[in-house]
Parts: sequence; structure tokens; C-alpha cells
Amino acid sequence: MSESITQPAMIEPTRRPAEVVLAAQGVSKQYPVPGGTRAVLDEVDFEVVRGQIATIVGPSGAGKTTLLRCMAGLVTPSAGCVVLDGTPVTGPPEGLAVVFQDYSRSLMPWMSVRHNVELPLRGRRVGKRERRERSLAALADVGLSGNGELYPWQLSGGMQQRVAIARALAYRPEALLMDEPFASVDAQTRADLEDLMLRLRIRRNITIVLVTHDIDEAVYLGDVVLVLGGSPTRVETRLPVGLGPDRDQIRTKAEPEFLEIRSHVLAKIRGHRGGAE
Amino acid sequence: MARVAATFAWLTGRRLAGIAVELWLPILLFAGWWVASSGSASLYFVGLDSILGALRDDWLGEAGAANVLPSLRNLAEGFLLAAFIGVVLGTVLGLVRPLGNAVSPIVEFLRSVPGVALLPIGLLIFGIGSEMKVSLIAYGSVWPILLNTIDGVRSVDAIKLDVLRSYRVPAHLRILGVVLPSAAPRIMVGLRTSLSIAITIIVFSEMIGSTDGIGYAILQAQRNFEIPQMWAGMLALGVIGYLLNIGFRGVEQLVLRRHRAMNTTPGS
Amino acid sequence: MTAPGALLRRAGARGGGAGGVKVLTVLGVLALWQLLSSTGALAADVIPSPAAIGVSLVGVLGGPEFWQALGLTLLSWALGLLVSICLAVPVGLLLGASELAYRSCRFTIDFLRTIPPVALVPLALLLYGATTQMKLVLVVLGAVWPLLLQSMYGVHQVDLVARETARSYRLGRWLRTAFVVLPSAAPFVFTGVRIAATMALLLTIGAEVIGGAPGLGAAMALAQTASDIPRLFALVAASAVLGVLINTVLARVERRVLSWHVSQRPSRG
Repeated sequence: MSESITQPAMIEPTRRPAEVVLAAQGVSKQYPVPGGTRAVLDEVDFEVVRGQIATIVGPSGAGKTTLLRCMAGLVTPSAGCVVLDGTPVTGPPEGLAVVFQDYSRSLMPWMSVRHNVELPLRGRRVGKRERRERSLAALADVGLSGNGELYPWQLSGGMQQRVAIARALAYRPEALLMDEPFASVDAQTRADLEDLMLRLRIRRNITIVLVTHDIDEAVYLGDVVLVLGGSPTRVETRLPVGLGPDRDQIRTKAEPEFLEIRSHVLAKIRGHRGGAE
Repeated sequence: MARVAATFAWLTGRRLAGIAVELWLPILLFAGWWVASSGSASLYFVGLDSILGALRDDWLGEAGAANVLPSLRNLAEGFLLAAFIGVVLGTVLGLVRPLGNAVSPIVEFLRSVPGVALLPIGLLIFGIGSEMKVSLIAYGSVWPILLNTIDGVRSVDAIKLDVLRSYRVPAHLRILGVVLPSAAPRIMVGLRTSLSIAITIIVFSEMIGSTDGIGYAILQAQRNFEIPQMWAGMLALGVIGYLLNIGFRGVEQLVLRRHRAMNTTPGS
Repeated sequence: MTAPGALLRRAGARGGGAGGVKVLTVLGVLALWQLLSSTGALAADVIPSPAAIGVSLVGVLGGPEFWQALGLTLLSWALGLLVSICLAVPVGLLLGASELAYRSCRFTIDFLRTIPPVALVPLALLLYGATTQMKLVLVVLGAVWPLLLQSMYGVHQVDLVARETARSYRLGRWLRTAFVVLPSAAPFVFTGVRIAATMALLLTIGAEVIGGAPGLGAAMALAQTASDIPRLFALVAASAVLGVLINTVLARVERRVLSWHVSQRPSRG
């Protein structure tokens, strides 16, 4: 298990050579506070390969969300940059879609589910018929066929988050960024949604960057796990996960490799907390 | 030391800019009013300087006190009466739901009577005088307080109430210790609305059947064609109303300070 | 921000038998009142009995002057409200959108809105005399403030996550405004309309009572000087009914337009 920070991933050497979709290069972020500045992120470097699920995990308050927002172009880094498909990110780029944690505030309650999914496509000037096709296909992919005419508040929390995911899928982004997307749902729903992401990755070959505080989730979903830590936050460890694309909540989580990576991550995070105290 | 200086500069720099943003428009408008009206030959839109002169003469100092104090006294009496009735009645109607529900159509009807329409009735019942004004103010101002109290009392966190009941805390302690403090922000909203209504009522109640007060003074000035005095009165009224609102907001901050601290979630 | 009155009504309407209780309560109160009046406990020339008011009301409703006066009041009210909305809502939405504009205007608006519009009656009388025009001017001067403030506030309150979502999907200005900002602000604007409607009615009748402009308020003042007390009460009751009707209609419209909003949804357990 290498602890390299900047080596590009070569998880399955049998696949075709890795193509970097999204990269953070020396991303640093400081905020002005009374008396000076507070550094949140410090020289964060990593790369995400096409078709990969990269999970970012770290203790609360470690700046995970700040990092994701830098990658999404919602926040400008104080130093360094984020590169999407070779182009530096300056503001929300066209090739990214974000799924926020708070689905109830991210979906527009005055529009039906289908219209919510179609909204970003309007911005891209996609024609009416194609919008409808794409949204219905995306809703089917997340298991919400037939719910298109309902309103978000008529759905459960898990279903609402599926709508947000469908919205991102219909958009056809280069990469999907997810900010603690399953933190606000119960454990059973979380397990279902995690499996949904794995299925979607296989079916649509999407690239996902997922921020989470749940270590099990990070290891279960990730092809590579990035452990953040330190103050200001850096990438502490980068752990490739060699569990293969076909995973199962019960079987995978009993496999020795899963347990090993999991305890390694836990130790890293704990170690950090211990050091900080 | 350098950090202290930096903090200070940051704070005051921010502060100064913040104040400037809020004040540039009023100052500009005021100056514009002055300039636009200074050469005015119009009968009704007189120069700002004459208005300010009338303001100084009639509305500050002794003459001012004679106009303003009676109004303020009636306002305070009426408002406090409304506050008392509103909170007490509102708590009862809010907590005893069947009663509140049964009485709601009557409340809806009574509160829809436009305050102005009560002026003739008030004159009839009480004649000219402070009693009429105080009663009118009380009647008109009680509704927002009543309704907001009912609302606030009914939306007390049910979990807290269950905890208290399971510990068999007696009713009066429940109400004073938990229900009212919980409902306090909502009640404050009602009080604030009522204050504006009370100010409106005192003004128009003094325009008919009165021999003193702010409203009386403004109307008299208009009847005697003392235009600068009329404008001065309106300006004075605006200032008084504004000061009352600020004063109220100060009281509100004080009362709700603990409430706010209680309700911010730690470490978000 | 739900109107407490609407909350009361909804809460009361939820119980099936509660409607019956309400009717009984109203009848009970009326009966008690009638009793007090009949026994002379309530002086008849101060507060007439419900029966006397009822008789007078029937007479009032039968005569054409009432309907004319009502029409005049309603006309000033509706026109004034409409003008206020057309003036204040767009301006408020625009001002609310810019942080700089919001903070620049806040002090001025805060000050101007604390001037009770009734204080402007003398001025309006000077300028326009006791006419419908005077009423209109007064209504607009008073009703624009809640609309302006609520619109500004509504735009300001657009949910942060919703805004970030729109930004992350690069929605253009027009799309953002039409699909995110305006619907978000709509509940606030509607509250502003309700407040303004009540204020407009108050101002119309106020202008009529104090200024003598033609309308319901003038009829009330007339009844008072003629010492026709039951008629006075009947007219005041009619104005209250008018207020209730207006509120009910507006609440209905709001329920339709804002059917998606939290306040209008059937509450979950």
C-alpha cells in the first residue's frame, strides 16, 4: 500500500492507460479572519482518472467541503489550481455536475421532479424533446421511473437525493462531484444509494469524486481513497483500493482487503486527531 | 501588537465602509430635497429651510413637548394595555385549543374592522379625550399581539412540553418557564407590528375630536395654511416613529438575547 | 411567514365538529349581547343591540347609497393596490438582487415606512381636496412600503443551496431569475400583497372618515354626526366583512399559486 501523493493511479494494469480527467494542483485556500488569515487547505495535490470513483475522507472540519467547492469552481483557490480535462477551472465549468448534501434545498420545490432534472439542460440549450428523453432515461437509471410528475416534497429523502443524482446524470458531465451526499439519509437508504452509484459507474462509466466522513463508505465505494488531514489540510494518504468494480454490501465488507484498508484509514484519521489534541 | 493593530484596522475599515454604504443615499436625498426646494415658489412644496425652521420652533423644546408628550403618553398607555391583554388572552386561547378554535371566527371578524372605522364609534362611546384614544389604540393594537402569541404558544417544541409533563411540572411553571420564553420571538414580532399600528391610530385619533397631540398639530397647521409647520410635523412624526422603532428593537435584542444564544447550534 | 389568522382558520377547520362549535360560540356571544342590551345593562345609545344593528343593516343594504359608497371604496382600494404592486414589486425585486442597493436603501426605506400614511392626509387634502384622487395617492403612498420591503426581503432570502446549485450548473441570468429567484421570492411577495391589501383598505376608509372623500368611511362619519348609532355600527360591521372577504379571497389565491410552498402543504403528522 503505497503512500504516494502524486503518482497517477494504476489500479488495474489490464485496462487501457489511465486518462486524468480532474486534477488538483497545489490547491491552497485561506480565509481572512480578524487578525490575519486562516489557512484551510495547503498544497492539495491529486488526480482522478476517467471511470474512477475517488473518495475523499477526513475528520469533520478538515476542509473536505472547501476542497470540493474549489474543484467545482464555486470557490477560487488562494493558490494552485484545479484542472479539468487539461483546462484550468475558473468558475463552475461546463463539464462538472455537483450533488449537494442538502437535497431538500438543492431541488426546486416549485417544479416537478422531471422539470428539476431538465433545468440544467435548459441552460445548455438542449431542445425540448431531447431534454425529455434524457430526463426520463436518467430517472429510470436511478430507479425513479414514473415519478417524474411528482413534486420533490412528495418524495422521501433518499428519493430526493436520487432526483439530484438523476439531474447530474442527465447533464452528462465529465465528472460528478458529490459532497457528503448520503449523510442526511438513514443507514438502509445510504446502503441502497451507495450501490446505486456503483451500478451507475458500471452502466455509464462515469467519473465520481465523493467527499464523505464515513470511512466504510469511502472504502466501499472508492477505487482510490484520499485521506485528508492536518491543519491546514493536506492529502495525508492516497490508498488504491483493489476490490474490483463488482462489490456487495455484505460480501465486500467482510473481505480482508476491505478491513485492512479500512483500519488503515481509521488509524490515519485517529492518529491525526490524537496529534491535534 | 501588530495583530491588534491589524484587527483594529480591519474592524474599523469594515465598519466605516459599512456605515458609508448605508448613509450615502439618505444624505444625498436630503441634500437633493434642500436644493430642489430652496428656490421654490410653490405654495405646498416649500423650502426645506423653512420647514427645518418650523421644526425647531414648534417641535423641539417646550412647544414640542406640549405637542408630543400627550401623544406619547396615550400611545404608551394604549400599547401596554394591548400588550397585556394580547399576551394573556393569547396564551389562554393558544393553550386551550378548543377555546381558541371556537372563538376564532369572532377574532377574525373583530380584527378585520379597519381601525379608522372605529373612530366614529370611539367618539360616540368615549367622547373627546384621552380615554377614547387609549381605548382605540388598545383595540387596534391588540390583534397582532394576540394572534402572534397564539401562534407562538402553539408552536412550542412539543418534545419540551412532553419532558415537562413527564416530570409533572405544574402548569404555571410550565407556562412561565418554558412556553412564554419559547414564544417570545413570535410575541416580539406581534409587538413590533402593533407598535406601528398604535402609532397610526394615535395620529388619526388626534385628527378628529382632539385638542392636542401630534395629529392635531399637523391637521391644524394644514387648516391654517401654515405649510412649513405642517411639513415639520410630518417630519417630526417620522423621526419619532423611527426612534420608537429603534428603541423597541433595542428592547427586543435584550429580551431575546438569551433566546438567540440558546438556539444557535454549536460547532456547525 | 403564514398569517396567524390563516393559521387559526386552518387549525380550526381541521376538526370536523369544530365548525359546529364555532357557530355555536358565535350564536352564544350574540345571544348574550342581545340579553345585555335588552335588559338595559348596555346603554342603547352607546352600543345598540344586535337586533337593532341587524335591522339597520338590512335597511342599509337595501338602499343604493350604500352600494355606491362601497363601490367607491372598493375602486380606490383596488386601483391603489394595483398601482402599488406595479410600482413596488419590480423595484423591490431589483433592489433586493443587488447587495449594494439593498444596503444603500435600507435606512431610507426603514425611515420612510415608519411615517404613518395617515399623517399624510392633511397634505393629500391640500393637494387634491376630498376626492377619489386624494384617496388613491394616500393608498399608494402607504401600501408601497410593505410591498417594497417584502419583495426586497424575498429576493434576499433565496436559499443558498438553491443558488449554489444554479451556479454549479451554470444557469444563465434569465433562467436563474425565472426558475430560482422569482419562485423563491413569491411567498414573500404574496405576504407583502396581503399586508398591503389590509393597509390599502385602512387608508381608503381613513381618507374617507378624516378627509371626507366619498365612500364607506364618509357614510360612517355621516351616521355618526347624525347620531344614527345602529347605522354606524352596521356600516362598521360591513367594513369588517369587507376586510374578511378580501383576506379570504387573497388566501385562496395564495393557496393556488403557492401550492408547492411549505406553508400550504398538508402537514405530515
